[in-house]
Amino acid sequence: MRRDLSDVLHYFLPELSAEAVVSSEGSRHRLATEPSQDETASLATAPLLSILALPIADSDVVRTALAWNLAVEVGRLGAAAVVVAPARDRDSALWPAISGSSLAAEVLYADGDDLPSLHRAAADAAVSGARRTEDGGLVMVRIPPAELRDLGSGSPLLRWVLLFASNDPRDLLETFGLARLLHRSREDIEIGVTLHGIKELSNAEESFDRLEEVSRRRAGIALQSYGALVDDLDVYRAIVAERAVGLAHPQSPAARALCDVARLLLQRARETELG
Amino acid sequence: MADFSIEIAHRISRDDVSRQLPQLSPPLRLVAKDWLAESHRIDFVTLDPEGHVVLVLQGSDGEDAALLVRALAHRAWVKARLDDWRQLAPQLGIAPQAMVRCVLLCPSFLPETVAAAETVEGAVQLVLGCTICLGTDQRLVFEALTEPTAPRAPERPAATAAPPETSPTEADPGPDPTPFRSGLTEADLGLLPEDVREFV
Repeated sequence: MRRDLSDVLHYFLPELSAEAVVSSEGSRHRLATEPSQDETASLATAPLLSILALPIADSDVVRTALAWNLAVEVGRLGAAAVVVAPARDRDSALWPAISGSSLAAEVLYADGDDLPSLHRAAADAAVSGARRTEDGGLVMVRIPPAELRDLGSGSPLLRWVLLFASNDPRDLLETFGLARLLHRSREDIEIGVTLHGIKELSNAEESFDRLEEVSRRRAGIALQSYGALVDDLDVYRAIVAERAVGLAHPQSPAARALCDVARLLLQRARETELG
Repeated sequence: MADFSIEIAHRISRDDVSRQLPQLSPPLRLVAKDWLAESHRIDFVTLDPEGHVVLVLQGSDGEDAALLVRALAHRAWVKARLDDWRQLAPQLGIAPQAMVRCVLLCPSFLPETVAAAETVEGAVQLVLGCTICLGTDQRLVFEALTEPTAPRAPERPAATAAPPETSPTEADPGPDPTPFRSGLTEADLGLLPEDVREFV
């Protein structure tokens, strides 16, 4: 069959979506000659953003800060990043106004604090986020740990979960307990762990290996490692400037570690549509 | 949304520290403030849930090294007086074989101080203090730079140590009710003693 340039154009211009481009004059022009059908098809095939659940306590400012810094790093990597928080976070000031930055990261609040409310908000964000990008991305949802007490048969929100843990023995015990609780409610769950407050990489490796071995032996859970975040005063000092670590101190070990973790998460999200 | 910022507190409010002691992990129960030791005062004398004595000392930027030296001196001074304290105030709940450790709370620590603290394992824990500003409201949060270590074996001579009066099973206190960082407890997570022994 004879082909013309339009048949293969998409190979050479992968960055152009069927949605729209901005011309040099600033006016928006459709690429396709049949806009409505093409746009509909494009949206139908665009990957939804993956939903990542983060059990973080209401008062855990440090882990919340790690979460929004990760969201900003995902945005810096060119993907969409949306944080969904329980309704009660609206007045808690846990989340800074990251949507005000020039990066593609925003915070949305659910209309409730329970898992169904959070799931509705996350699903909406996953769909609307897919309309804005072809590069995929993440919807990161803060789960109040109290909501995990009576999981029963599980929640659709808890398909992919990231647990933050330090290498404190009691913290590792808690992480194991959370992983087992989540796994019992849903066997197809994928649980990742990011260690933080780490001074040396070898400490993080030892801690994760121990956690992974115990989880596999005692509960049949295959934990995934999503890297380690170094214990660095730059984390705090960057936040003093009310900017994400990666913006305030882009060359710091903390910023590089955050970027590595964000890249791992994004890579996993692109492999499979999760959540 | 209220203004949000986190800043390194150059001077940490003593009242804030006092209020936050029960929120630490493990939680600390305040026994005395500004207790005069050999030549300086101990900011806070506290007890952990197992009845071990924890001395909390707070300092400002640049005071960390001096504070470490003072903490070790305070620890030695308190250790020598534990038996007296038990006799004078049995209601405090100091464990019969209580250990004494110190928590140093500062806005920053020099690498030398961190290295020095690690050489006295089990004696000193370094904790960074951060002030979170929520609009006009300020809240202090702690982030441990070094981990609290489990109490060491009894320091009393073996000949004078009291024999256990109960079997290990009888002595098992059950799930620890102290909440984890998530706010959930061992019971919430369905943790069994054998799970706990894997990590702690």
